[in-house]
Amino acid sequence: MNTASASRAERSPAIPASRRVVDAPTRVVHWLLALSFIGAYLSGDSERWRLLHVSLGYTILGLVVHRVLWGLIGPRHTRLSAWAAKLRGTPDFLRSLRSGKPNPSAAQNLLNTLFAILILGFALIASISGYAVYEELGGDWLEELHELSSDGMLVMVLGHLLLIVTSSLLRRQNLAARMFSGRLPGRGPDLIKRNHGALAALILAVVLGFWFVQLLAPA
Amino acid sequence: MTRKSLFKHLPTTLFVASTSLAAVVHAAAPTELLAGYSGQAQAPSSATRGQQFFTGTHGGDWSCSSCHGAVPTGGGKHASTGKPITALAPAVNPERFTDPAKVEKWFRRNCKDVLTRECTAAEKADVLAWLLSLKP
Repeated sequence: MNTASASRAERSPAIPASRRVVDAPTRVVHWLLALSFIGAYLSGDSERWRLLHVSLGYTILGLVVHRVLWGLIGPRHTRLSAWAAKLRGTPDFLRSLRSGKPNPSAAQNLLNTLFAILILGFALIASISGYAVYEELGGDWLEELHELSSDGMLVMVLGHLLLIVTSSLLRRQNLAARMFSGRLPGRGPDLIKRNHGALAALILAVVLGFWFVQLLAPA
Repeated sequence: MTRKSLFKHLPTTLFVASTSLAAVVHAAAPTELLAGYSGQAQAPSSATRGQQFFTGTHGGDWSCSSCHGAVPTGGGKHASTGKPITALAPAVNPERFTDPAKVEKWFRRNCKDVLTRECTAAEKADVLAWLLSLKP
């Protein structure tokens, strides 16, 4: 498909060498989750925005479920097993802290994996408890759980942002760029072999279609 | 659209949690809540004023009736989601106005939606007096 022509273009001398490190579905889901979370958090206190809030909650649940499935069947580096492998590096990292020679890149990697897991975990709890509150399936404790997990997600999102900004400054490298372009400067083979652009387009179309039906289409 | 911050939110959560606990020990009767609001307002409540307040739009496009119905002995319908809302009048729905924390939470949320401000104790007393006067 067009992946072949794209990699030919990358090899041409006019374009600086780079390699793919994040596939398109992961990037699309990352930004849809970010947007949906901001919208859902801001619309949580008003009945005027209730339909938007609930629609974004469904979206978040769908995105988290996709991310977990993609973590089971997607490219090796986006898999949950890759996250587990990074977390298994925790004891080594703590030892390096004690020896006073921590590797900044390892620290950033480990912490960001933790943030990603916690963000997805809180997102799952917040969206399911939100659904239960909306459908009046339980008592007041569900409302408490919904609010606490949403605030938990906010704290983790802020932690994630702080980590990306500070490690970008420390390492003098824009660490957020890869979540836009999917690529890192440098030579070498792509870490992620296939971009899965069609799947990313499908996910985007499904989410935009869902928003249209929920929010704009006449009832 | 107003936003409560995380830090403003935490004490609220603790307050609601503690008052819900108190509500388990002592579920308040709607009449006790009314007495509390009238006491805070330092004025007697009026069911007539309550009805005007409930059905008025206060310069906006929504009234309380937009979701709860003009006479809330019947069910209402959410003005944004279309979801059914159970009757507000305690004579029809005995669960209403028995949990002080819940009452405060929903007055706060819904007054901001209709009036873009919180309701005063006098306004809450008037509305509750009217709702208590409604018979099935």
